[in-house]
Amino acid sequence: MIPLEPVLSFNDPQPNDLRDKTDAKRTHRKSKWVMTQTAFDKLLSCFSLDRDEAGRQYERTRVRLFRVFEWSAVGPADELADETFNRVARRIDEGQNIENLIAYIVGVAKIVCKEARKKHLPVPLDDAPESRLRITPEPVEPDIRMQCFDKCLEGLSSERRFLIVEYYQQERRDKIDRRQKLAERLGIPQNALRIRAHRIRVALENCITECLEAAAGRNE
Amino acid sequence: MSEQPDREELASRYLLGGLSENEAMTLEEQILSDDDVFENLEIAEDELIDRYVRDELRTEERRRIREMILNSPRLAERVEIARILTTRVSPQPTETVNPKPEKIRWWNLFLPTPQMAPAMRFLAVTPLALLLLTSILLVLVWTRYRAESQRWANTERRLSQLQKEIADQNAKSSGLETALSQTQQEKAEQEKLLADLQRQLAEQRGQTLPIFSFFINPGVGTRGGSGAEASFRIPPGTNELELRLNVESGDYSQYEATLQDADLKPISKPSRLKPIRRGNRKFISFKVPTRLVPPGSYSIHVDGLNNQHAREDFSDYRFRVTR
Repeated sequence: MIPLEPVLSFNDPQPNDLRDKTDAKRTHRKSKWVMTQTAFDKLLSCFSLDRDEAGRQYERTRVRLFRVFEWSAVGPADELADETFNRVARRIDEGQNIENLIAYIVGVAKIVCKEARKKHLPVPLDDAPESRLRITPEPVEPDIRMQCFDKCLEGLSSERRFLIVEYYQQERRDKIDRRQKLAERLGIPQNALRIRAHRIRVALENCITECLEAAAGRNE
Repeated sequence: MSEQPDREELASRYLLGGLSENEAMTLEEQILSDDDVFENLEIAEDELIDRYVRDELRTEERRRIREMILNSPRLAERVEIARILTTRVSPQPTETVNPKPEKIRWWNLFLPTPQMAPAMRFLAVTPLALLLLTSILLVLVWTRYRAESQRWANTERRLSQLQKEIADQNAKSSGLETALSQTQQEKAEQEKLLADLQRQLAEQRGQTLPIFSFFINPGVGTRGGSGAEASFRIPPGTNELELRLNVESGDYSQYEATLQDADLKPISKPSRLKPIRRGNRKFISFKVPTRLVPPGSYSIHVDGLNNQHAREDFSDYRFRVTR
């Protein structure tokens, strides 16, 4: 879905702002840059001249950029991704010619990531306050997540259920042999098995997420 | 194929922060633009989460993953699901996890599967093909046999029918023979009746009806003297029977003849007869109405008359009248 309005993000200097001072000075001297529709359209046009295709590529890049920030162990990943796109859009709007859009985005993302790391100083995990912990609280009986898991697992076809159960057997040494034998039994390469198991798992997790959301909606 | 393990190892190192900045940026450009590379990173994320849940990571690796989890609700949720997945698919069978065995249809044993090598597919199909061919041949043989059987049955039925017709014909023929015999008998009776009627008519009209003559030798029935009685049939319409009795051995001038039945009882009055010589024969002519001699055995007693007109036993002449 192509947003009709650009996503606005923060540009105001923060206390202990560890962003690039040159950039901060420039920002301070000039008026705060705000993503306009024109700037956003220019950004999309860099993906593709076809508006729909440009929208698809933008969304795909945004999702993957989000993951890159997650894998970089910095957050919040959604805000950092938006910030990256804002900066890229601003450069384009200011007339900068970008030959390789993806490489430029990665470069800007690296800067944003560094700035985020500097901003949020690392805290020893043992001292991490409860509010920083984003891990889901311990399940209490009855475990809705467990129920949703069982329900979604049962909802898979017998072939898919069998594959994922066989694939994720626990024993380490046995796991390797099991997967090799499973691949031979299905007549597919091991990498294809790996990909197939991943996709079934993604479908399973999506189902569980929907189930949990539905349960949360009922509880409200 | 060797590229794949390298790509898996590269992805794992990237997630664990083990790449240089340049290497990481190069990979990130691929992540943003290449679907396969991105999916490979997602799979590497699956595997790291699984290893984290199973406590298979080194200390630094584990710390890195925990940092990621702390900053991502999505990853935290994935970890919880991974814990459940690990628990549910443990080696101990559970009701909800154990897959229901696929019901193998009997025909799947003969059908090739995509997993089979081409040679195996051929071997899998061959028994089914042979079975099909054999079945077709059996059907053809059975059909032919059935046709032959029906033909035989029809032939036997026809044969039986013909035999029955023959039996009917034989019965009919036998009946016809019986009818013919009866008809012939009736005809003879009617001829006799006709002769009687003609004789009566002739008597009424005073007409002389034909005479039937027959020559008899004495003491013997036939001229040859065989000893058997003479036997003859009086023709229909004959009113009078003339019996010429051979008297060659006698030299009487006159004879007396009397007709007798089988019991030697006289049937007619004695008749005096003079011998008649014709050629080399000498006989007496004894005439009797045919009505007096119905079929049966008779005899004529003949006496010779001497000069004193006394009777002298001469001979007996036997004869039989047949139908």
